[in-house]
Formats: sequence, C-alpha cells, structure tokens
Amino acid sequence: MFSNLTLIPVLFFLGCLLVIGYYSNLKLKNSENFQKDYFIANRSLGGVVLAMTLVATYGSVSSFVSGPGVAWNLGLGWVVFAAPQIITGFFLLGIVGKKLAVIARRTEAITVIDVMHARYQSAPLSILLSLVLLIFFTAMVVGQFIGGAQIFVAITGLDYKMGLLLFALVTVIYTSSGFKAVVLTDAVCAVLMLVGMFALGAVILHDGGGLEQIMHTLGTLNPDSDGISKQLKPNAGGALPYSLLFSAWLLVGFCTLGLPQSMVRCLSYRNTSDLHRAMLVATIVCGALMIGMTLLGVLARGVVDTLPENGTDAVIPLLIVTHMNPILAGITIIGPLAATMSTVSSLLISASSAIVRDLYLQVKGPEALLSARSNRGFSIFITLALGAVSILLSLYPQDIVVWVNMFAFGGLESAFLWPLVLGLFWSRMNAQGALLGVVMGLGCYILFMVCGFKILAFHNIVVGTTVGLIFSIIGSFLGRGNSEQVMQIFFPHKS
Amino acid sequence: MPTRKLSYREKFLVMDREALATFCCALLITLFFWAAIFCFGDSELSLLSFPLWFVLSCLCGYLLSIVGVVILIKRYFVNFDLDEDAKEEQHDVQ
Repeated sequence: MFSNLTLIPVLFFLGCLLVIGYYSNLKLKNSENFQKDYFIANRSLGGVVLAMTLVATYGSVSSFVSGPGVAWNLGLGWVVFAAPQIITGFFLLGIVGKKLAVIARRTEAITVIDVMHARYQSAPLSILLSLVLLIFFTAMVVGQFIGGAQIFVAITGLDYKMGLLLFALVTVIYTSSGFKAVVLTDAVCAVLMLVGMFALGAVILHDGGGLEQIMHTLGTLNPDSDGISKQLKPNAGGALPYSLLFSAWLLVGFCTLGLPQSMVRCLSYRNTSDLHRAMLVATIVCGALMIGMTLLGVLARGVVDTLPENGTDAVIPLLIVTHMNPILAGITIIGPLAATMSTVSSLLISASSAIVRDLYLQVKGPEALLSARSNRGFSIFITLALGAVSILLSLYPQDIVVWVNMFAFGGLESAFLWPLVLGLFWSRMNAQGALLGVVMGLGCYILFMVCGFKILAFHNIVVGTTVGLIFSIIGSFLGRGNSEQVMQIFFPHKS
Repeated sequence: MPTRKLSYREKFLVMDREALATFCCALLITLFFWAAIFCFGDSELSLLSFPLWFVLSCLCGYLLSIVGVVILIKRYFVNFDLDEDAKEEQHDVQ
C-alpha cells in the first residue's frame, strides 16, 4: 500500500519552498530598514498574494482533516457550521484593512502591537497582548505540527518523528528568511490546497458513483423521526443546536476580525486597489476551500462507509491511501501539508516579531529599537529559536500545550477583537478600557473553557466577547480621555 | 478606478463609510443564510440532488457573498494614495 512514489511530489514541493526562502533571503541582504523588510516585506504585497496569504494562514490542517472528518459523521449540518466563513475573506479587510494601513504608515508601525501601543500608549497592555500572542501562537504552531505530522505518517508510512522533522525543519528554515518568504510560500500553498481539494473531489465523485448516487446513499442513513436522514438536516437531527450555529457565526465569521495573524497582513500591502482585489479573491478562495472541503467530508461517506478505527480524523487520510495511486496521493497530501505549513510560518514570524520588537521595546525602551533596526542576526536567531522550541514540543507532546492550542483561536479573538475594533472606531475607548476588556474577556473565556461551563449550549466565544465588550466600555468611562496626539492620529475627523 | 488625493482627515471619513458598508454587507449575508435555514430547514424539497435549504444557505450564500464584495468594491470603496496626504482644504465639502 505505502510507496516511496508518494514521497516524490512531496519532496519536490518542500524543495520549491526552500528555493523561495533562499531567494527571499538574498533580497534581504541589501535591506536598509531590516525589521520593516523582515516582518512586513516593506509594505509591498500585491492583491492576489495578500488574499492567498490570508486564506492560507487561516486555513489550517484541521480545515483539511478534522473538519471533513466530523462532516463525514454528521452530514450536511457540519457544512452549515463551516458556512460563516463565506464572510471571513472580506470582513477583516473591509472593516479595518485600510485604517490599519493608513495608521501604520503614519506611526511607522510594523506589528499589530505597535499599532496598539500607538493607540493606547500603555506598556502593561502592550506586554500583556504580546505575551497572549506569543503563548497562543506557539501552542498553535505545535498543534499544527502534530496534526500535519500525523496525516503525513498516515499516508506515507514514514516514522512520526522522521515525518515531523522533514516538513517542520523546512517550514522553520524558510520562515527565518522573513515575511516575504512567508507570504510567497503561502501563495504557493493556497494554490496547492485548492489542487488537493479538487483531486479529492474527483476521486470521491468517481469512486462513489457520481453525486446523485452518493446523495441517495446518504439519504438512507440514520433516518430521523420524520423519516429524513440526519445527514441531510441543518441541525444534524439535533446534534448541532442553533445556539451553537450562532456561536459559529461569531467564532469563524465576525470575530475573525480579532485574529492578529490576519491583522498584521493589513500593514503589509501596497495600495488600495490591492486591498480591493484581495477582498474579492480571498472571498472566492476562502469560501470555496472551507465549504468545499467540508462538503467533501460529507460526500466521502459514499466511499468510506464505516468509521475508521482511529476515529473521524482518519477518514480523509484513509480515502487518500486506499483510493488514489501513489503519485496522485502524493499530490493530494500536499494540500493538508501546505495548510499546516502556511499557518505555521505566519504564526512563527508574528511570534518572532512579538519578541524581537514588542517585548524588547517595552523592556529596553525606544532607543534600543533604533539599534535593533539593523540587527538582523537577532531577528533571524529568535525566529529559528522559536521554531526549534516548537519542533521539540511536537516531538515530545505535552498535555498542557495540546490543551492551550484547543482554546487558542477563541482566546486570541477574545483578547484582540475589542482593543482593535473599539480602538479604531470609538474615540472614547482608552487604555483602561482596553486593559479591563482584555483581562475580563480573555479571563472569562479561559475560565469557562477550563471549568467546562456552558450557557445555553453557546460556544464560550460568545461569553468571552460579550464580557470583553462590557468591560471595555466600563473601563473606558472610568479612565481618562485620550491625548490630543492620539486623537489626531486615530480620529482626525472627530477632534 | 482612478486614485483620489485625499487629506488625512478625509481618508478617515471615507474609511468609516467603507467599514459601515462592509458590516452591512456581512449582516445581510448572515440574515439571508438564517432565513434560508429557518424557511426551508424542514422542507423535503431538493435541488441539484442536495436539500433545498443547503443549496440556498450554503451554496447561494457563497455566491451572494461574492456578489456582495463586487458591489462593495465597485460602489462604496474609494482608491486613494496610502502614502501621501493631500493638503486640507479650507472649505470642507461634507
């Protein structure tokens, strides 16, 4: 079953990524403002690359493996849960895309925390947000590495550690070449994610005997009390209550506005027409990938009819191994690997900027920043070191890291959503509001997650963001107003 | 679309309007999606071998979001120079 032929397309793909990394590294040599080049590619991204890097960063290994696996089990109801992502492609770009770009140019910000610092001028807040970002990103990187390695192993038959080292080292090496390498490889990855999806789709439709046949098969499974199959119901026959669907609209829809790994991309594009183009391309690609992959999970039921012994996560790997010839399997597995690597590279470079720039600035003061500008060794070293720590944690998985990863996504949203949105659109918002909102919102979210509290079957993101909003407003009214300087930069039309 | 020269202050007026338009667009898509689920969630009708509610909420919802973005960028979004600001005019045109 396993064949070395499967590895040929994968190795070719990894080689291409290294070449892109090497090429980007050469360009860095003549850099005049190293950090600006290294962390945001000197604000040079075009529209299509901006769109592709957003979608590739957002789409992770779980979009390719776990999500479709759950869809295999629950049916079309799970696609409904992926559907909020039809707005994800344009929402962030449309709401804050331009404001972040304009303000970052005015304040010379190159990280999200830079923008927060310019807005709130609060060292405790900047340090808190940097740490939140660093901890969650590292846990997410480890989670991605583990997930990616598992599917790699399932399909190629390599040893877990070998598989992990192979693609994790490649990812860390090209990421250390900076943001330009990250976004270019992201664009390649996004295209290969689409290719993987189409290959899977073709095999499922062919081996399942066509769409009509598959849907007919699904219609006869698990009939509900009214005789309609649970697989064909929007709430999966009661397994997915509407309060949970409402939560999904926040978690993977509206609140994705609060993901710092997406925000930072708004600091890095070239001009407004690039942003407009990116909104369209990202909407098309994000919706197609997220709805497409989940729908393929549902349809896979027509091909894989019994639950694999390793659970629903094994459905897609099993499908690839048993229904594809080795070369095609090798091309298809690049899809989930690309999803993993593109997410990891973006998180890693952002986490690196949080240490090299944000925490360093807060500890050493602004003078240190000027000298750090030309300090390329330090930036590259931190990126590599963070990568090495993540690889070690993936080789020897710790429960705590796996666990933090589980609520990282909602945690980042709970922490970053209101400081960003209220900070940009509500002139009354101030440092006290932001601090209180982050502490209470993120605190409640983590508390509810840890203790397993639930309110009416809502996901705890609803609690985190609601509490965060209330306390941001309370804090803002308790605290002092913003300085004239902040008002002139952030609200020139309201002062 | 031609690139306009705007002052720093004018950019913010434009950007607030764009953000509002984006939010309304996302809200309309959300309402359309929920309406499709609530109106046809229990119906046995099907289209293209899928249940009707699925085609309307997920597939048409996806197409609607693409149409929505096209309308946003053609009608509401303005191209302006990110790097430079025009001088503020004395008499403001609101």
